[in-house]
Amino acid sequence: MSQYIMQRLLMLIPILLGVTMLVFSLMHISGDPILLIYGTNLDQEIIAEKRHELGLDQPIYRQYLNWVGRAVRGNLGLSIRTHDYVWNMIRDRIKATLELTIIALVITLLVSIPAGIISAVRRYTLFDQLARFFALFWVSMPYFWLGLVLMLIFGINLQWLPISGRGGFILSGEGLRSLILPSLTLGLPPAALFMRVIRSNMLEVINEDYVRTARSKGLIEYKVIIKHAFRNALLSVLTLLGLRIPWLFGGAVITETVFAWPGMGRLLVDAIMKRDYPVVQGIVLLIAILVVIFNIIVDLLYAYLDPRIRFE
Amino acid sequence: MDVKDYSNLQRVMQRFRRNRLAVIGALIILLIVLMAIFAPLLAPYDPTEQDYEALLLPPSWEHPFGTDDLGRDILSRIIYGSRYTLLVGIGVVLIVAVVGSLLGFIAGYYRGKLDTLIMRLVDVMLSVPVLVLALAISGALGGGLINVIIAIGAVGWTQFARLVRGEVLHIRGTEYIKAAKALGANDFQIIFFHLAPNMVAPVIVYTTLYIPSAILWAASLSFLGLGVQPPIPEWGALIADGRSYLSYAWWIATMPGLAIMLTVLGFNFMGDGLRDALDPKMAKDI
Repeated sequence: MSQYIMQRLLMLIPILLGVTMLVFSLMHISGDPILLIYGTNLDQEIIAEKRHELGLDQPIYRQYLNWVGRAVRGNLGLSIRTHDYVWNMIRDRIKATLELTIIALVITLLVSIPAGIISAVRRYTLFDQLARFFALFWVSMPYFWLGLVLMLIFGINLQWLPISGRGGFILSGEGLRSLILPSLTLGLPPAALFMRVIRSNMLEVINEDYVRTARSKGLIEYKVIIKHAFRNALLSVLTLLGLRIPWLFGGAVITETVFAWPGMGRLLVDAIMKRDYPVVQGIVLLIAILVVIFNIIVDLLYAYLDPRIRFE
Repeated sequence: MDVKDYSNLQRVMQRFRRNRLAVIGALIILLIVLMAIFAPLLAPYDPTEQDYEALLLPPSWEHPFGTDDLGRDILSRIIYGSRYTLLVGIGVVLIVAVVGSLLGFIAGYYRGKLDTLIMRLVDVMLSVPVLVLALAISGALGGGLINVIIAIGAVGWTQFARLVRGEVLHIRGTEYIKAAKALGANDFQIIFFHLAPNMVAPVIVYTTLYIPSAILWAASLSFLGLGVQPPIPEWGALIADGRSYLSYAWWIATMPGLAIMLTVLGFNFMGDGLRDALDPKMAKDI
């Protein structure tokens, strides 16, 4: 297993290098950084001086190496607009984004796994038909619209839950209350997709010989379904999870904007609006690193559940 | 016994027609396409006409979907907005299908260093959420319909490339390709007479299933203010308009959202139906 982990970690290096190149090029498609920072009214001499100060007169590969060198040491540069360190701006918001995405993921799994299993086991019953019907609607809903609808019902009309902001630490009453609507917005649409995949895989597995053998041994139905059938269907859930992780962070950008959630996504949208590209670069890089870390965790879980992967 | 000789296309159409959800999906899409084409005839009002005596009116016989803060008729704006939604969906899909298929084809057919290079690029692109990258590019290029299509197209081709590469790898290893090679067929003949015809079905299915994602991404960009700009009545932008009035004019944000959901649902139904009709082996009970 440790060899497998090492292999996976080594494969990260070219991906992260590629991500840094991609992120670095963002700055250059957005136009001349000097003009973005200082506007168009500066004298040519001052522009040249500023360009030299920021190292923008160097060849592009050297600029890239300098930027990567600084980024590796945790220096993502200064914000064009506020002149704060980008890392300091992002650091305070990582926790809020992780809180939202992890709870949303928990909601996705808590809703989809039981619904998928029951739908498969009680195929064509009223529950199955209803679950499949609603799943089709959930997957077609835009995140931001679902957020607004939940806000309208539970925040504005019923006044049960706050409609914006973060109420503090997750375990505090207000913190938890403020997290409910954003995490449902982010967690429910993928739950529909997961439910459909779990149901479909459970239906395939449920008729396999080993499940029949488990039943003929006299195991109770619960154990047959959970320990034998679901354990194998779980592999497809993990595959889907790996594919959906980037979507989770993409969805977080929208959800944070809808609910004024003080995470990285909201900061990203603000920074793009203000063309503050050092901040944009920093956040995109960090989101890519988080996606890669989540994917490694999924890979390791996969290898844990299916020993064939480890020995390949 | 009278045995009918069905062509492939007839068999596909027959299977498609038998799938109730697929037919409903196709009808929804047909309605939306007709709505986009005949918008000037169908819309009861001019979508940009402001009526200061009809501000924030709730749904009524006169304005079935209500009016917005400038007195514009929401139904008319949704009818006209279907044009932009379809345009973005189809524009993005054209870019990603052409670029993704080409790169996936090259990677799968020629393998070697080119394959490694293209697939590593795909890995890199896939580690950044499509929406995040599209937002960053759209912000850099500036908003507008064409830039939204370019921004989403520039990052969305990766999934297509993966799919096409996988299909090419699969077909490349089949007996009939080996036989064609043994008979002396060159690359051109293999690609155009053997590989390409077998790629048509999966590419059509994936194209149809990709349009909903493109529509949702474009609507998200517009909602965040980085997509199609006002006064163009793109559906995502209409929802953004209604956000500030949610507590006392719910219809402004709710109605365009329903329109997006219905369109995406239509494409999903149709895509699933096409997949099952073109390749019944791929059909799953989901």
